[in-house]
Amino acid sequence: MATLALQGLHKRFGTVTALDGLDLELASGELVSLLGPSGCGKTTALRIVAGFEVATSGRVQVAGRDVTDVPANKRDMGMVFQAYSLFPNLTAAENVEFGLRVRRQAKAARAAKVAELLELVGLASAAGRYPYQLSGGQQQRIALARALAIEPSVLLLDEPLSALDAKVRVNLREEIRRIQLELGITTLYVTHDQEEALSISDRVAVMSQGRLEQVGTPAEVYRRPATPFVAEFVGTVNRLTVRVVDPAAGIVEHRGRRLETAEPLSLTAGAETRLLVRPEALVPSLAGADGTADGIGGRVVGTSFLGAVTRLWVDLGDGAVVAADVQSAAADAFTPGTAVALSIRPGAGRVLASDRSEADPVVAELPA
Amino acid sequence: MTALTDAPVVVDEAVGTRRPRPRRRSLAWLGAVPFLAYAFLFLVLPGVSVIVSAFQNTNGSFTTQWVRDLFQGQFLSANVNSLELAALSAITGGVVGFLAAYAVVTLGRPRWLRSFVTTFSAVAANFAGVPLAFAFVATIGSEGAMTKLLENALGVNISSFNLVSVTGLVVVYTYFQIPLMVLVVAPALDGLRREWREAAANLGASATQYWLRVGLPVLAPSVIGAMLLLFASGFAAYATAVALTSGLVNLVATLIGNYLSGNVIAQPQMGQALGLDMLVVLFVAVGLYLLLQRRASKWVR
Ligand SMILES: Nc1ncnc2c1ncn2[C@@H]1O[C@H](COP(=O)(O)OP(=O)(O)O)[C@@H](O)[C@H]1O
Ligand SMILES: [Mg+2]
Repeated sequence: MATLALQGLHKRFGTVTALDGLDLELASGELVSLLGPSGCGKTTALRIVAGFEVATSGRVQVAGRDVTDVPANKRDMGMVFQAYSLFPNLTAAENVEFGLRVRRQAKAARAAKVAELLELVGLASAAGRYPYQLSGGQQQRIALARALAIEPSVLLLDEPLSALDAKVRVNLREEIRRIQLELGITTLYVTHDQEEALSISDRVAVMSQGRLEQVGTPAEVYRRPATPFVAEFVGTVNRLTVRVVDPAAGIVEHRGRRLETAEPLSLTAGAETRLLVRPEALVPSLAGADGTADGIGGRVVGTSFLGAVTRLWVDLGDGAVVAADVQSAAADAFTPGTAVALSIRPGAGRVLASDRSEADPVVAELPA
Repeated sequence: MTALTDAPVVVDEAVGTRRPRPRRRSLAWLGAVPFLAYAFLFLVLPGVSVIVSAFQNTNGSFTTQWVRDLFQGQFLSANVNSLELAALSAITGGVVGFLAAYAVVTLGRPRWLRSFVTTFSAVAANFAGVPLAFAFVATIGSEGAMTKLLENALGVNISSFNLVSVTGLVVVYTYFQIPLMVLVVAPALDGLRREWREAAANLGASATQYWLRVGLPVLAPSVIGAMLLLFASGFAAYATAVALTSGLVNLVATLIGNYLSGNVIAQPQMGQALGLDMLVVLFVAVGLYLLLQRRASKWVR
């Protein structure tokens, strides 16, 4: 297997800058997700890697070899498209066989490879069916088998699950990861679905407006978002406007209530900033009498059962509603109307403070 | 909730399992009555009457004489001419029209080109009869403007080319066959997905390999189907042929016209037999077209 490197990729379409300097390296056998909102340039990056689009500037390397000027049909990359990419006039097996025929492999070798791959994606029984006789999920499995048949150096997937039902989506993403691990193939996976990216990737590269915001393991990106954008895009966050009380001790104040963040802040006392807190780092307690300990007072206005945890929607009194998670077993105490006090989970890991401007908020992290 | 099991469970949408719907009596068909009545009165009834009369003697008894006559003498040669004209004009119009449609669809630029070509084709496909014949006589007829221009400017003499012949008719017919092909085949070209071309390239195929294994096979039903439509229209076209040749070229359509206008009064049943002849040719062409169309629409969803 091979390493893949995207170096300083720029791409302009007329006046639109789709990629604004993208650098990303994939280790051999690694699955990296390009994660970002629609229009941030994910597809463009993938198409440049595949050779369907020419970068305005920048290079692409596979296993240390520069492939920037190699035509798409000579790159030996496997690509899975969003949907409807199977050749409609060929059966599932013939689709998988396509790349092998083009390579003029012997008939017996082709047949063996096709059988092996159909088995791998769990569709051996569908060999003779045409694409229109397959469900969306089955089509994507065949597309994956077809891309893998040529034993590509890298595998590229562009939102391969976005056209499928939620349930199929979850199943198939596990399947893709299983196969990827089994083959140990270097994989670049494009998605706008943060849950999908976090669940199957070795590393996640979060993109915004043609640039990388952060590259890290799913846990790093979730727990230690490098930028406010990442914090907001990956997972759910609450935004609180706070005033710095004691920067050295990491203490801030929300409308007179003290909140402890775990790390020193590089802001001056009295500065106003925004504190970003994950729902699971915001701990609600029953506020018996008025003014129990430190914390933000509020009233539960709704609950959503999410399985292991229940999400409380807490009105802070000024119209701002924040989300706080409690174990579902303990959720009965927090019926709508209940007065609660919210604190940041004690020892809540690292706090990321921006030292640039008040527009850049503070991010409170989850306990490790 | 789904149960967790230790074996990987493959959940996928079921495909092709259609539950039988409980049959319900509906009055929706009532809305189709006017249409069905119309179709019966103006399509089925005349068709049946043509078929019946083609097998009737002057005294009303059954005979196959007229139909047998279709395979002899001037009737046979009319069939040969008509088939030749239809086939040649369909192939010429089909190939040129396909290439034109392909150019317009894939170029995509400038934006107005597509709508211009489509609109022009819609008009040109219906340009037939006396005006079309006149246009050709006036340009490439023996005294035509283009004929003179070529002769005077380039010394090329095309005045020996006879418009009043099957070949001449083929040339004239392509004038509406090409635009007809553009109109019919452009949607099929739109149906070729970019993903197919890119997936093929990604798998190592050259442009030629893509066209041979995917592009052309996918388009084939639509292209052949469209050419069958051209064939049918070339076989049945009447006004242009009469205007251009005044019946001097022996064709099924013009023969029928002769019977219809009463130029030949001896055997009216022969006219019916010729009508049956044309019906059969059109039925076969359109039937094949529909078959291919079904296949094409299955692929390109
Ligand atoms: N062929 C193109 N022509 C013009 N603009 C394009 C083209 N492809 C992409 N873009 C623009 O580039 C930006 C990035 O697009 P894309 O890479 O498709 O984003 P994503 O896949 O992240 O949704 C978008 O603003 C899009 O409109
Ligand atoms: Mg995209």
